[in-house]
Amino acid sequence: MPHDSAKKSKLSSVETRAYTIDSEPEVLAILQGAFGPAWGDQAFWRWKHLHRPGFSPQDVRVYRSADKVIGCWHMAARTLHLGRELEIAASVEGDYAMHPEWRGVGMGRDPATVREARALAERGIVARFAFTSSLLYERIYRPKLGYRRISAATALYRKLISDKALRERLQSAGERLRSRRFILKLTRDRPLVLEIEVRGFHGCALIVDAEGARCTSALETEPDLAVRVPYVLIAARTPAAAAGVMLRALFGGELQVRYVARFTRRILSALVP
Amino acid sequence: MRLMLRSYRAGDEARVVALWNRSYACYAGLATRTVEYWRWSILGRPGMSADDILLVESGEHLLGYAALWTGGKVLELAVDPDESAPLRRGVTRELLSGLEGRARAREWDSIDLLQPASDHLIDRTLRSAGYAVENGPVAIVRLLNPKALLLALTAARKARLLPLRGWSVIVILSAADDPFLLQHRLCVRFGDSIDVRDLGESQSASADAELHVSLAGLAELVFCGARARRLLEAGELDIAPDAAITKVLAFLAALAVESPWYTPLSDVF
Repeated sequence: MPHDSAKKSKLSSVETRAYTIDSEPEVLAILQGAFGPAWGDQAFWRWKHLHRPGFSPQDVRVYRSADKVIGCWHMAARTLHLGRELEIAASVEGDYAMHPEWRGVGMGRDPATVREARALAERGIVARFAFTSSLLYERIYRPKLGYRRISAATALYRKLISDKALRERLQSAGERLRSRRFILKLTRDRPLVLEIEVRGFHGCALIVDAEGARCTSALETEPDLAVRVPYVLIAARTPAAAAGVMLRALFGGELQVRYVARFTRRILSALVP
Repeated sequence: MRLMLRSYRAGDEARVVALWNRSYACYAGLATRTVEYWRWSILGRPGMSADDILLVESGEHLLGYAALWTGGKVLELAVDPDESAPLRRGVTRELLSGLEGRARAREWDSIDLLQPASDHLIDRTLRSAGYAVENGPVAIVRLLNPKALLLALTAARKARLLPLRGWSVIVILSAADDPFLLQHRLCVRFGDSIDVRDLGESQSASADAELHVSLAGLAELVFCGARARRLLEAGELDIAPDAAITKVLAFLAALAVESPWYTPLSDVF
């Protein structure tokens, strides 16, 4: 991380300009460099920004130094509904990316960026909104830029629908399980094999051994335990939630367990050497 | 009532937009949809197939709508808020079934939706269909023009602020951790209309009370569900004189956005 004086001297070379068509390839390269190719291609960038109803070239700010694009920032002006008969002019901002060499120089607090804020206010913008992760909010957006987290009702609901996704989820659960000292002891001499059938998916085998955890579609060996569980158990996010789901499933007949005696013998043999 | 699930056809736009706006009218944080905006945001989105825009109807009546995008992302889902709970539940299930079928046919791994958890019926329907809540995007805010915000909020809450008629307060703002403080002192006078004036840094003015708060503190009070009394007790705002505390707290309580905040996936920037 450069020192303050080095940062100031670096920032003094930065110019900020509105979008021009010639800056487009470099802006896209900066975005893909920061977020990966999955961010999208030129057609996506053009759709998201250039073709958005109400787009203004001022909505894209391009940071340049020595005539090279070193960063970019995007916004959309929206009339935001705040409840019945209440609306404000807002900017929704994102696609902010800097070239790796320019990260951490304090661009967000630079006087040039303060001028940008004044220009936004002159456009009638009342409040600025963005979306981020909890981690980046705590690390950057709150302490360095003064953002506050909105108390939102929005929740991300997810349901896995493919066998592949389910096996990946089970495999990471197996990895977490393997990190427990007792499971390490249990799998020291031979793998622990669980046959798992989740309603709505094909059955699979979770194999936990000294090397790691893997989930396969085919059962390669006799399982230590076989369980048939409802999908909601896989989706439970906390042990308490999982316990609640298990109890309900047990009483509802949705939870079936086989080879309990075999599994108990294996547990006991690990407990009593 | 017989529910029919079908894909979008040209000409559905206006009904879909009307259903969307009606469904989320009581929420905060959304831009009111127009047909032009919907066509850009949903229909014209790269990778969107019109077949994956689903409508549930009963006769001519549009009861529900959802738009599925690449990777199993549901950009929008709306169910008529004025219908009975059993019908809303049935429409939601019909949409989910259609969305999952299409996502499976395309070999996507999961279905993701951003929905307001405060809609308990939709929340319960999703959970019972096997959907679990995961970490989603965090919506964040910073204030740019507090004067314009106070003007909009006091105008909308005029009736609630009537007991403050004839009273005035100077709001003294500090930057704290926000690098942009464009207004430093605002005078709010409650009369026949509510006047909010930017006093700048030097203009003198007298008022019944003074409120010291940071820009972020004001944002917390308006958008983040923070209680003014808690901020006062934590020393994050200051009110003078003490005799004005009740009135200032009443003023601040009236500013809070009370509607649940909801951002659909289509609006996440």
